[in-house]
Amino acid sequence: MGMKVRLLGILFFIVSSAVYAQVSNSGQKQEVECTEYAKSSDVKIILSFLKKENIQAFLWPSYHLALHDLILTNITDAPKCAVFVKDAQVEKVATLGEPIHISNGAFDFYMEGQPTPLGELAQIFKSEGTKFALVWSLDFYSNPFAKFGIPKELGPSMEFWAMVHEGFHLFVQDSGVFPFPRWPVADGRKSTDKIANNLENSCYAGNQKIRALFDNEYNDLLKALPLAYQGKSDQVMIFIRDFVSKRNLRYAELSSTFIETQTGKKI
Amino acid sequence: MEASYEMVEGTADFVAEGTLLQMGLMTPQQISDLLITLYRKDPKWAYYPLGSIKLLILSQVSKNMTSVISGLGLSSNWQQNIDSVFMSSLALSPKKP
Repeated sequence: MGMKVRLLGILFFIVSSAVYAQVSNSGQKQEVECTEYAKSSDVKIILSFLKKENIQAFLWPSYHLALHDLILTNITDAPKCAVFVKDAQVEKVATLGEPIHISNGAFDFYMEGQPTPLGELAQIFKSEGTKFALVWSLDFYSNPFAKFGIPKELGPSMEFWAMVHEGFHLFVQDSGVFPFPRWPVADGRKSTDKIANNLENSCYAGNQKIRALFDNEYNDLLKALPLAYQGKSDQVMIFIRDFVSKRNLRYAELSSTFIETQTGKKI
Repeated sequence: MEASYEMVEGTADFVAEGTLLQMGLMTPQQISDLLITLYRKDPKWAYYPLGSIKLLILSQVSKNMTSVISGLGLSSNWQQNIDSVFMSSLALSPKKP
């Protein structure tokens, strides 16, 4: 009996050590993968864009993406890796137990006190007292942005464009740094799918008549833009005046239209 | 309302486009082509960049992006929007619904 117990004890020790070693090896392997990911060309390119010497001046007062918490990952190739970037440098690399869940497949916002699907990553933010963070998956041309048909020759510049756009939403528009009293707010956010869908259906594309009116005015703006870059101001103004008169037709059609936000407020 | 939504997305687009222009990552022609192809691809999003196109046109006409941003008004003085800045800068009178 005593021998049996001893043998079982030894067997248990061997099995648990093997399991521990396997888990530990797998954890170490994952850590190595994440460290390597942080040195990948995808991450390096974004870091090079963020470097201060590339930025001649702040376009928006006190705002640039390089100043804020940015977490890079790749939900396809490195879903358990979180590369924390601050001041255009890798601050740290976290290896997570579970893949990062990003609701829209491309990026997510973290805001202190707001509901988030970011799980383990959100716990890190919480423990470090992070107030806002932009989490970005570096697989731009295979993620949901691909549906826009963005030309691949634009490469990572286009991804950076999208990061600055979303970063501006988070760090300036949603952070409360600047008050925007006239902006629609639903559930504390300035931009939501509900507002966008209501707006699109009611004001831009709800019926064929409105849609046709909008297409006409939008085309005038699109024609004016290249002319503006060519310095042809007189021609720009012809299209802009057309734009205004066509828009007034649409506005007349919409004179009794109101949009309801998620909070039930009509605007 | 309409102009307000254009502000939300349009300002974010404009800051992104301005940043790339400033850094030389994209040329004005590439930005212009992008806005045209991008939003014609999916008509659902056609209204999305209205604000940024207006701001880009203004910044080209005025040759000064910073002054366009100043014109939008900042901090507690934020009472104007892209549309009114666009109209007043180009000496046009919008008819609001």
